[in-house]
Order: sequence, then structure tokens, then C-alpha cells
Amino acid sequence: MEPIITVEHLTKRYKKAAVAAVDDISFEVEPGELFAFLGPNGAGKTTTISILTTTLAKTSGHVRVAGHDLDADATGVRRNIGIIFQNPSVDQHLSAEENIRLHVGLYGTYSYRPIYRLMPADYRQRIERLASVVGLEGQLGTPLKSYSGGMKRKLEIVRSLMHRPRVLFLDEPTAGLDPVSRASLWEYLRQVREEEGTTVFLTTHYLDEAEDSDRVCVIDHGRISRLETPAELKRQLLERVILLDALDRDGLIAELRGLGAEVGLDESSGLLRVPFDGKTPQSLIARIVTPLTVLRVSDPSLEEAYVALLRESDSESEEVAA
Amino acid sequence: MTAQVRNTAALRAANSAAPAELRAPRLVLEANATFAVAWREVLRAIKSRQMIAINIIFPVLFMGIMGGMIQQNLGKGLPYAYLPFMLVGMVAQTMYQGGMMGITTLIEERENGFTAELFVAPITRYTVLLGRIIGSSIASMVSLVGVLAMIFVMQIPVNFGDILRVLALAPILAFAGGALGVLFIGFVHDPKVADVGHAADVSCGLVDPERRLDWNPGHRDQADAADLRDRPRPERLLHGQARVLSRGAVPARSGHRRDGRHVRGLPGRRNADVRPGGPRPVGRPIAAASVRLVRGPAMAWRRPPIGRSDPAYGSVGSRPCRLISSSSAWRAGGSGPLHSSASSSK
Repeated sequence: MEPIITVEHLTKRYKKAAVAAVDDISFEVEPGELFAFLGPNGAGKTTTISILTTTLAKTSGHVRVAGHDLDADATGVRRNIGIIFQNPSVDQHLSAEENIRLHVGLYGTYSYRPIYRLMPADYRQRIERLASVVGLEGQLGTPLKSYSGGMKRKLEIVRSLMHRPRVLFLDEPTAGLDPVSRASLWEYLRQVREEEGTTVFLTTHYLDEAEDSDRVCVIDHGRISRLETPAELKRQLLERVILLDALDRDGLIAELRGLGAEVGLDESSGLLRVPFDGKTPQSLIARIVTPLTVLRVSDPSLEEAYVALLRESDSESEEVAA
Repeated sequence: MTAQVRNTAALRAANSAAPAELRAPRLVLEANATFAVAWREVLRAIKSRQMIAINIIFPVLFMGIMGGMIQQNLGKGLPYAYLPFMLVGMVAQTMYQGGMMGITTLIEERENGFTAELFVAPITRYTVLLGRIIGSSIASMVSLVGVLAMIFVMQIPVNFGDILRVLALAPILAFAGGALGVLFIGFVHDPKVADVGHAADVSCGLVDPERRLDWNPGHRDQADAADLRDRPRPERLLHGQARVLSRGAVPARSGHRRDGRHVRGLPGRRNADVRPGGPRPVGRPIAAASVRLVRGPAMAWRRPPIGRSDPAYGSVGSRPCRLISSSSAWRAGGSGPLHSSASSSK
């Protein structure tokens, strides 16, 4: 199957900038994939997403989105993508429905009419059904000034789906939202992916949101440092460990070594640290006789793996600079 | 769980009802988008009560207070009817500024992020600009309610046919304003600076008459500071054009100059219309410059450089009249460097 996004040797160098913001990156995104594009501030995430959504010109490289070449057919690219920006891009002076009506007018999905009642029946049915999906039913005529941040995000989801995009770009979609709104927004996005098979290209600083992604691409200093599944990334970067302690710490250490475990000291917690890669933690814990005062099983999160990766990258950069 | 099942069912239903993408020629899609963008401007205008109030009150204050004071205090010294002059300027300026603001509000929308929604849509940038100019021009018609109301309140002697002729210029005024707006947003990135720019834009040619509407560099020796300031401003020309069309404050007539040369002017509204018994209109240089714009350089009146006299120009009876200038119009009655005569223009 042809990738829905193909990026080859993409480079973006801003005028008067000493280094390239995006430096010769290449990757592919498969149709229907949830692709998490991660990186620290200034790494080149927004530059890349801006190029892919045709709002920024690239310096060099080749990009295809939904079968359309970015250089030859930018309009075709735009017609097949939906975008939820980092900051809500809605007109506060209009109602939710008027914002959506403007959107479908811009995309040519429906012929534009000045009044909601004059819009085609298809439009009215679709907007009402999508509004019910995100829980905005009965509030489409309300001025946006009275909407909360979460409601605006839901409106943007409805709006971005009205023209049935093949790729949905989400640029930090949950920035500034409370945990409940974040959770409900991801629930709706999951449904959208299931039902429409929409490819989602996500950038976020909330790493837990990227845990469910199919692949994670980490960009740093304009270059791709890792492109893996979340599980593989964690496996490569971090150990799964048991943290434990006892009043008789020396006895516990001797017992663990007797069981063939590698015992170390966890610097951050001060506890004993026993890796269990390739085994279940229960196989070790069940054989310990020494009374324990602390027992923790540490399964590293994507965030920990990400932080470890960035630290590794920073130390390498310092070595190169030295 | 039940809610999720309900939502999933609703999503399936929404997808099944989704239409095929509008398969229309590119031009139709762009026209559809233009209409959508334009109507958004209209919606914004009619939804903002404060904006409506300001749009109506501002012309009332401007015409009623400023125009009234100028007419009352300086009107007798003017060789033309000031209020009709200002009224036409207000109408032209309202349309012009509407077109300009339609573009410059992009600066504000760039700040709040809405331009991203417009510029990732599968339409050309020209469609966005065109839609905004058209929409904001229609929206600025709201302001005309206040301006036109002053015709009745202040009993300004105008012909509505003249006003309609000015409104016929609306597309040109709006697009000229939009063009300046495009230039403006190229180097202004702060909404506050844009607001200041709008405020500064109001004065040119609206309340002060234009001395010269041509751009001939050979006349530079006649230019004073105010003239140089206003020279590159397109609204100056447009106000002049609007006044030509409406015959507002362009009281020149066809006739012969002292040197015997026949000059055609436009029928004008005489100052006597508002002040019976007042001096006859002598606003010939304004009309002449306007005629030049409308009918070509052959109709231009020759004017001598400042500081020299010209036998082609005389005086109204025993009263000398000066060429109307943005800087010197109010020093009426003195013997200026240029003199014109109503009798000589008959």
C-alpha cells in the first residue's frame, strides 16, 4: 500500500539562520496510522508540520501527501488534509455553526448559503450528527465567546472532519485543556480513527497521549533521532526493573545475588534495583525470603524513554562540541 | 459504554450521509469560497452591536460637530459649500476605509490564529483577499446610514442621484483601499499599529480640499509640506473623483479665461445654494484637477508657480480669491499667489 505521507530529504533553512530548522529528514506514514511526531521545543516539529500542511515553503526535499505532490499540487494536498492547530483557529464573533459553514464553503464541500436553513439537507444532517458525536448537540448556534477551551476543541474536530480529510494533523491539540477534556477528546478521536480510517499525524508534549500511537518519530535539532514503535523505543532506551528494600539490606543483596539477579543501587530513589528484562517480575519476587519494606515494579513510560533519549542526544552534542 | 456505542452509531450515520466532494469547476469553487469569506465579514459586522453603534455615531460626530463647526466658522471664507464637500468625502472615505480594513484586520487575525484556517483551505490567496474586500465593503455600508442621516439632520443640500453616483465608485474605492491594505500588512505586524494607521488615514482629502490631483513631477516646485505628505495617498485622488461625480464642491463652469482660452468645467453646486447671497463659487482649481483625472491632461488648467501672479486668473468682483490649498485654504480673503474668478470662468 502506498504511504499516505512521504517525506524525502526535507530541509528547511530560515534566512539568516546559522543552522537548518529541519535538516534532511525522511520518513513515511502508512494510511490509517497514528503517527506521533515528538521533540523538544525548537526541534523542528512545527516547521515540519507547517511544510506538510502547505503553510510554509521548504528549502529542499520532496513531499507527497495523500497522493498529491506538495510542489505540483498544493491545493490537492490541502483538500485532503484537516488540521487542528495548537491554538484554536475559530472566529469568536461567529457561532459554532457559522464557523463550520465557513469551513465547508472554503473547502467547497457544500455550496455556501448565508443562512443555516438554506444550506443543503446533507450538510444539516452531517453537522448535527457529528455534533452529537462530540457532545455539542444543541449548542451549535451559541456564540463562541461562551464556549470553553474544551468545547472549542470539539468544534474544531467537527469542523476538520466535515470535508472528510484523509490525513488529520493535530498540532498539540490538547494544550491548555483540563484532564477530563483531554480524555474525552482522545476518546472521540479514537472513534474517528476507527470509523473513518483517518490517518492522524500528532505532535504533542503530553507523552502519555503518544503511548497508543503506532509509531513514534523523535526529532531533535532538526534531525530524526528515533523512529520506532513506542514499545521498541522503551525497550531500547530503558530497563524494566524491580525496586526493593529491606531492613536487612545486606541480607537481601546476598539473597538476590544467590538467585542470580544483578543488584544495583537506583540513584534517584536510593533503593535496590534489579532488572527483569526477559522474565516476569513474579518469578523473582516469589523466591525472595527476606522481609521487604519496599517493593516497586517499574515499567518505563514513553515519557521516561523520551527524556532518556533527549539526555543521550544532549550529551552526544556536548561531546561533539568539546 | 452506552454513550460510546451511541456516538459510534452517530458517527457511522454521519459518514453514510456525507456527500461526495463538491465536483464543480475550479472557478465555481473559488466563487463559493469568495462568497463564504465575504459573508463572514457581513456576519461579523451585523453581529457586533458596538461596531454598529460606532459606525453610526462616528459619522454623526464627524459631520455634525467637526463639519458643522468648520462650516459655521470658516464657511463664509470658503468659495464652495463645505458640508456637501465633506459629505461626499465621508461617503468615499467610508467605502475606501472599509476595503482597507477588510485586509488589515488580517493582522489581528494573524495574532489570534484565525488566518491559519483561511490559508490552509484549498483556495487561492486572491480569493481570500477578494472575499474580504467585498465583504467588508458591504459591511461598511452600515456606516453610510449615519452619514446619510446627517443629510436630513443638517439639511445638507445634496442630490441623491449624486450620492448614488459616488456609490457607483464603491468597487474602485473598496479595491483601492484593499490594495493599500495589502501593502500595509506587508510591513505592519502589530494590530495596534494598524489601528493607528487607520486613524491617520481618515484626514487626507476628507476634510481638507486637494490643491492638486495630478502627479506631475514638474509641479514639484509648487508643493508645500502638506502637499508632499498627501501626494502619494490614493484616497486623495479617490475623494477628488467622488466629488467630480457628485458635483460636490466642484463649482467650476465652462467659460473663457482672460486670455481667451475656452475651458470646460463640470456643472457644480454653488455655494449660494447654502448661503443665499454669498459669493459665487470659484473652486475652479479643484474642478480643473479633477477634470484632468477624468478626461485627461488636455483639460488641465495651467497654474503658475507659487509666488508668481498669472494674468489668467483674476478675482471675484473686487474680492480676490485664492487657490484652494490644503495648507492655505483657510487664509481666505488675502491676496494669494493665485487668483480665480467666477466671472472669468463663465
